[in-house]
Amino acid sequence: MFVKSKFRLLALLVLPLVLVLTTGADHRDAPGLINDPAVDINDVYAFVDPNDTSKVVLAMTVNPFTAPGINQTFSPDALYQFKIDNTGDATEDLVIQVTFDQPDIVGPPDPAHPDFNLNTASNPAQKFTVRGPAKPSKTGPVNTVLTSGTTFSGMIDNRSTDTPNTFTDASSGITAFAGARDDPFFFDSTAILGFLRDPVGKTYVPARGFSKVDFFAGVNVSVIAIELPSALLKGSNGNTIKVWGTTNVFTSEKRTFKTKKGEMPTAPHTGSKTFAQFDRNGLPGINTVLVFPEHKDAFNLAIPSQDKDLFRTDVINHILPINGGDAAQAAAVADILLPDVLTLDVTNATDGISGGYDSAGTLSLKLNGRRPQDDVISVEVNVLTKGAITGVNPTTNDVPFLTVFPFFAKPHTAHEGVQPRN
Amino acid sequence: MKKIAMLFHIALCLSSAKSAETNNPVDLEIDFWAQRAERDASDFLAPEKLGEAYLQKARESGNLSYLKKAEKALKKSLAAKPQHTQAMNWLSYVYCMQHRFRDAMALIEDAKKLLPDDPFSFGILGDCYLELGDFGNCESNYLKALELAPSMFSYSRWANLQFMKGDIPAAIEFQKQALDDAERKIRVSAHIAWCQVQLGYTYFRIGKFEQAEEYYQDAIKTNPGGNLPLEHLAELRGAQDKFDEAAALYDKALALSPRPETYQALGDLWAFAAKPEKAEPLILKAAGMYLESVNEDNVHYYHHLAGLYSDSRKLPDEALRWARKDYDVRQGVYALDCLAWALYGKGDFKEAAQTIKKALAFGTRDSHLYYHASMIYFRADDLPSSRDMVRKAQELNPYYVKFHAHR
Repeated sequence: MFVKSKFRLLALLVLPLVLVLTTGADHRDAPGLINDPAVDINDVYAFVDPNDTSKVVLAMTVNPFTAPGINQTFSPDALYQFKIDNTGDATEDLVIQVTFDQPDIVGPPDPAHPDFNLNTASNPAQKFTVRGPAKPSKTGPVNTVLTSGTTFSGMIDNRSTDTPNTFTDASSGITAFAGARDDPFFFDSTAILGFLRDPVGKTYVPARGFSKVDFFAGVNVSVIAIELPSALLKGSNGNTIKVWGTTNVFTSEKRTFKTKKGEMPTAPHTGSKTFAQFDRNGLPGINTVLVFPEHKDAFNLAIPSQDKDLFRTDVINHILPINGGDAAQAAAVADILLPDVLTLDVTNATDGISGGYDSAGTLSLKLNGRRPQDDVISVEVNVLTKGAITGVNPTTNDVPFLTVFPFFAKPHTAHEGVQPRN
Repeated sequence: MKKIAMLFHIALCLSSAKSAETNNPVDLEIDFWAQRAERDASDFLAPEKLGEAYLQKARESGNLSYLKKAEKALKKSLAAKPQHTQAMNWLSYVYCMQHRFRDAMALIEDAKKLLPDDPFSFGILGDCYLELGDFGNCESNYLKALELAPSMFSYSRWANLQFMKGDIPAAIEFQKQALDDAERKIRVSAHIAWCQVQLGYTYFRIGKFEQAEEYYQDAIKTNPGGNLPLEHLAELRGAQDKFDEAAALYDKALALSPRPETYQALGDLWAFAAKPEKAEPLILKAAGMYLESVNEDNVHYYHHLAGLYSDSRKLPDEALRWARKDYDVRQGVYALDCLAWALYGKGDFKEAAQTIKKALAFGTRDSHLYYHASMIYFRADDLPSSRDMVRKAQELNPYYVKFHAHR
């Protein structure tokens, strides 16, 4: 997708315009997520594999702000899903599901790896299973485990950062990775926060200036990445697919908490085999930034086809103080940001998200899914200020991305230290 | 050259020793976030995460000095971002653990204005009300927390309230749910072990030593580096009259975390085993550590000092002084019990009886509470009540006269 025009608001409408007011793209975006970071989606990525353009990579990150040396687990109570709309109606036509077994957090010390102790939760082994892509029996926020389509498993082994944790199903050509990685998001969060607290119309300079510190440098996340032939994802919308990620958790049939003696709550994970949506993410930071605090949990429980009805006002009212009160622009931007999905041309291996206003006031944007290396923050700040601010964010990640699947950099290790502030 | 090789070898050994020491997850967190917090004064997240890690360290080890560190870090986070609700939440939790209940409640009310439906807020408020002896408000807040987020945290809180209200089967049921949630959802060994210890301790309090042993052993397997499972197993061994084995376990726990409570427990153990020469220095050490903490404006150990001067080192005036101070801070069951017991030690049996009656009115079923009541009623010339209390203690826990640690 390539757009070039001057002062055309319409051009803005294809930009995943994101203001990050808190800590990250979608890191800890709602209060309900803090108790279980394993189902807190930080970011979702969708891009064409540059090494094999017949394939698409879909990825999501969870477990925000994991300190090096701590290998967080995935939730055995959750259904991690990539949802794909290939007909253009913001409803999933296909899903890819990943589930995890209970991690082996208790076990004997491993003599082969004396630095690691399997008796602690820091180095668990955990089996995972990939299902799909396949048509779901139930669309929307409550889902069930797929019973048809490709199914294969792998075992996460975090005892060394060199373990590939990558498994391929030969018959379908699908490859999956799950495990700890460097957080691929790079963002001078505190500076941008300073800017947003003193928005457009007053001064563009935050209190301590833009000094391009990567707030996410040195921390790890847990990544699920799936590479698969793009042919498996295409539908009536041709080469264009829309992608979002969800985490769904076991639903309880009944939850009652009575003070009366003898009336116990039922255990949340017994009885039902359905999974209720807990978090979702498409474009970076929509919920984190553009939804009011009291609606953040509700946003995570909603589905893309409801977005315009439920959250358009929130988005507009968040943009207005930042864009100088331009109501038309705010409304137009809201209409393109919602529904919250990533749009990918599965034949375009060259582009991700880049561009912005140039010095002449011309807007040039390339938008295609989202790649790990895309500096979405620079683009966003530039567009928000109509080119007044450029180059305020680090342009690259703190560590180089891999050039092959899973593309995300190896995790930081314990005791490697924290980068000095520049 | 040989010297250099030797120095290199020593350096290597020291480096691996450090590495082994800091592979404990919470120590890794502290290490990392402390460096991050130092790097950037405007970074609100790093001090918040550091405060959370110190808080977890305090919970895991029972070492309250980490609370001061947590407080400092969290205040730094709030200085960088005054409305950072997560830091407000953790700081209120720190205040609660420090027995600064009014501070905790004021801060959590501020946090609630920003996030009205945060289950964390309701949990902390419930904790404060419980300590202040207001079971009604405790219950409504815990219920709200349960409804918003059924989890290890809300189940274990609800379990504790059930115990305090005297419904021990319900307490055990919810402690099991908390453990189940910790195993399935939290998946952190220290949390799982904590739940196992709580279950074991409840069984210990009702004299079911076999079940207590099972959960304590599970906790040690789950979190071998934790001192709390060792301390509880030591208490169990003491109650089984296996004093040497108990002492060895207390020594191990002290090596992991030299807490004054543990010194006192070991001292009490030796006193119980009729070895006062071993007991006395340990009791004195515990008293010194409590007083040092109190002199730094920490109120948490008022209760411990009252207990120590009532039982371990009989100084009735001191016991009553600290018990009254404890009661000024909180007015729950155990503050009343502690005050009643100190009044008993001072010879004021009438006021002691009135006070223990207030404690019993909460409905808490605890054999040591019943024991205190029986002794107080006996000296207050209320023999029927005294006999009733002995019967209740005996029925609830046939081993109530055996060794137990002050808490």
